[in-house]
Amino acid sequence: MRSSKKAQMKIQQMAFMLVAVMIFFAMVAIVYFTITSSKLRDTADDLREEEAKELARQMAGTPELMFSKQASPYSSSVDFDKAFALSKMNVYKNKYWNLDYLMIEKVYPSSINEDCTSGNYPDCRYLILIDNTRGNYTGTQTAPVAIVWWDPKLESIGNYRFQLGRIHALAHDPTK
Amino acid sequence: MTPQNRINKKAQEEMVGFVLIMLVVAIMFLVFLGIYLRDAAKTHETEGKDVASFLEAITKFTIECDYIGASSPLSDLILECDASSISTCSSGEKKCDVLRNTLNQAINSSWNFNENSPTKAYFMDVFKETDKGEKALFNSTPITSGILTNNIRAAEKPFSKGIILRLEIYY
Repeated sequence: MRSSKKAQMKIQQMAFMLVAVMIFFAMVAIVYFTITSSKLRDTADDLREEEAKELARQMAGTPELMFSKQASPYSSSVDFDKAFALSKMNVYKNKYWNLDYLMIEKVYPSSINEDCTSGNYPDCRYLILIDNTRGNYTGTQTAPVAIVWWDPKLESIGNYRFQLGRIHALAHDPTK
Repeated sequence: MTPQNRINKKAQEEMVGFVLIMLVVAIMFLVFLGIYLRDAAKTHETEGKDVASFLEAITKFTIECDYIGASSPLSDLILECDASSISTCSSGEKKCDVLRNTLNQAINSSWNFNENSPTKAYFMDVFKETDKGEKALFNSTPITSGILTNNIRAAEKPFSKGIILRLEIYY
């Protein structure tokens, strides 16, 4: 009787010990998975952002904006003169590219902080091709591009001038 | 030893054994945590498509160096800086200095570097790979600004004669 009671005590002790160890390892696993899942969330956010930026980069390669007057390596540049002409045409402002916002910005050297119009082109900074955002630019992605325009003052007879620019694009949100 | 003392001693031994086991497990946990955190503190560098696009764009940048109204791309200036570190533009400024200043200004125009913005600092280097190792083109001083962190987005653009333009943006 005494020995069976002793054995029961031992079993109880073992059970409590196992429960304590399991709780301990469960806490360790919770901490580990919390840290891992937050890292995964950061990676997913980075991937989503890269995908959206790819849209901006792709816009620079469309035939309507691409500088095609010389062979590569200039073909990945945005033709600013072409883009300015396009900005005057209404057909590109609506669902042609499925964008709510498309703008090309002259980054360096910086120009006067004005939107491009017939009166100030090419001494302007922002060339807006599409703006259907009603002031809400949340989610706009940008990508650096080379912009090129004809400068009649270069080389005394005129030549193409390459500058550093940035293309801003916001995909159309069909829910809005 | 009385039976009661024997029982007490045994109970104490059991408790000490339990505490020792917990101690060993806790030490193992701390060791693994230390290894994991040390790995997390290492520098993480990823290829930055934005940075690559910037390098692609800036190397086409028109520089008026040989004379006012001249037009040559920045990539030509890099090759000229490599060919001769003392050659000058028509303004009297050294070509390597013009190159360095242009790159510096272009980077600062493209990104905002301060404590409150996501981009904290940048590091740019133009170097040439030779048999004896790397040779920097800007008086052995890469362009750098801000506080360097562990998260880097970087890209390189190769030119002829083994010249490489490398830009690192620190987040």
